Amino acid sequence: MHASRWWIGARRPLFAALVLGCAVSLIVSRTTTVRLIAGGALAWSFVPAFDAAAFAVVRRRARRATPFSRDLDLACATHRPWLLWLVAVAGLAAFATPRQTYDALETTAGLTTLVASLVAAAAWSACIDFRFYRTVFERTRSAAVTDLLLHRAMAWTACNLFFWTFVGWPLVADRLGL
Amino acid sequence: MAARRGPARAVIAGRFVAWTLFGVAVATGTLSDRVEPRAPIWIGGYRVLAADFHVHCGFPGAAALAPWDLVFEARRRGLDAFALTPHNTVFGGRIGRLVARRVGGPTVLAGEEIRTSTYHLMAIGVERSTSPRLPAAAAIAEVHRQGGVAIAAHPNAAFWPAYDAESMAALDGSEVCHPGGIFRERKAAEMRLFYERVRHAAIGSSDYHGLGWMGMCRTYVFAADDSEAAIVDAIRAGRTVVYDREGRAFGDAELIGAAAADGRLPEPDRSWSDPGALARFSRALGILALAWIILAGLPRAA
Repeated sequence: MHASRWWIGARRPLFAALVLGCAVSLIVSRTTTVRLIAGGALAWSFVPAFDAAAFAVVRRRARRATPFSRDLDLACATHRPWLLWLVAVAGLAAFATPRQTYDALETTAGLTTLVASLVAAAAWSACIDFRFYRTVFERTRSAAVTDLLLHRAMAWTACNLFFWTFVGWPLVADRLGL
Repeated sequence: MAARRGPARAVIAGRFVAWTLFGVAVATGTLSDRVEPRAPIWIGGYRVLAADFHVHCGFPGAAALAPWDLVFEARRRGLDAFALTPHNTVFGGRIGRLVARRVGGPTVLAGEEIRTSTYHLMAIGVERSTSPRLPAAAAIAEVHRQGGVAIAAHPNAAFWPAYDAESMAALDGSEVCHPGGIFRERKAAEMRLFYERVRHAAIGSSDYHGLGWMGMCRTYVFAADDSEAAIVDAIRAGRTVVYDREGRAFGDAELIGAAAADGRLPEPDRSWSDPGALARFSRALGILALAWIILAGLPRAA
């Protein structure tokens, strides 16, 4: 029995949303509850949604003949480094005391470790994405790099704008002297 | 053929076990997550409400939980009221208030944290956002014009220059207990000094973004009832009491005395205690099962 196209395209973004919901639940309540997983998944669904939208733009440039759902399914298989990083960070937060969490986020060593692990996950993910564009989209080396950068730039910009806009605009306006 | 079938079966079995463990983790986590009922507290003719006036929401915004989730999280943390104060917008607060009214509480006050490069100010009980381009005194005046109250958010020394004499006189309250001060005595001392300068309503709040606990620092509001208007009135009149982690009380001296005589404040905060064996089991199992599921991956599309 073949899965519907809709399901093939949606299942990995939905899985990413589920992991995001679990991370929220672990961080907020230090356990996994249905209420917080569902709420967290919904509240953070913008991340896989923006990622899928950015992928759709990149895919359009590659002029693919295969169904979008199948390409999206394969592309989202590269989420693994992020999801593992997320579970690891949420797991640490769930086991840490409030003081340990606060100390970790306030000290240079704690922040450096967090950022270093994030960079490692980003690099791993970039390698997998690059391979994806090279092998599945059959792009040249430079085109694959362009696809990768375009995908990242669009997805990350959209996610950061969605998350930080209300915090950031007065500060940016102040800096620009507007 | 048989050699290929073996690993495939093992992978399928592994995925099944991982998802089953994940289901068990979520089920036990949900069972361990109980809300204990709280009886209303009345002292000196006032309804004493446990409140958190500095809560951020996501979707959109810089926080982990959406407004509707915060309503249930507040219940879980034993709060009677809270203010949703996203940065520079009141949108999330209005959504949270709508949800809270539909589900029967707790009381949600719409508000915002007016976040500028020179000061952070909470506007509670307002319907429209105030421009973060205004100086503190003008922002406070705008909050008052809308019928709300203005509270200095975590007023560390870096923010003091923004509060001139006019704005200090106009402020309705300031945070004297805040997570930033729990673990850093210097920050706590600065917030106490700021509070001592004018002695407006003492406010304890968690500045909740997702880390720590909602209601980690809380304000006991002595209000006529649990309505939004009564809470705003109580803050304006300075009828609040705050306890820091060492048990020191801040706020209206008469109310602190009445609360001490009554003996029920501060309420024990179970957030800091061990969540119990079931929750610990669910946590460990959930993390392991999730990592396993991610590593095993989803089955390939047919």
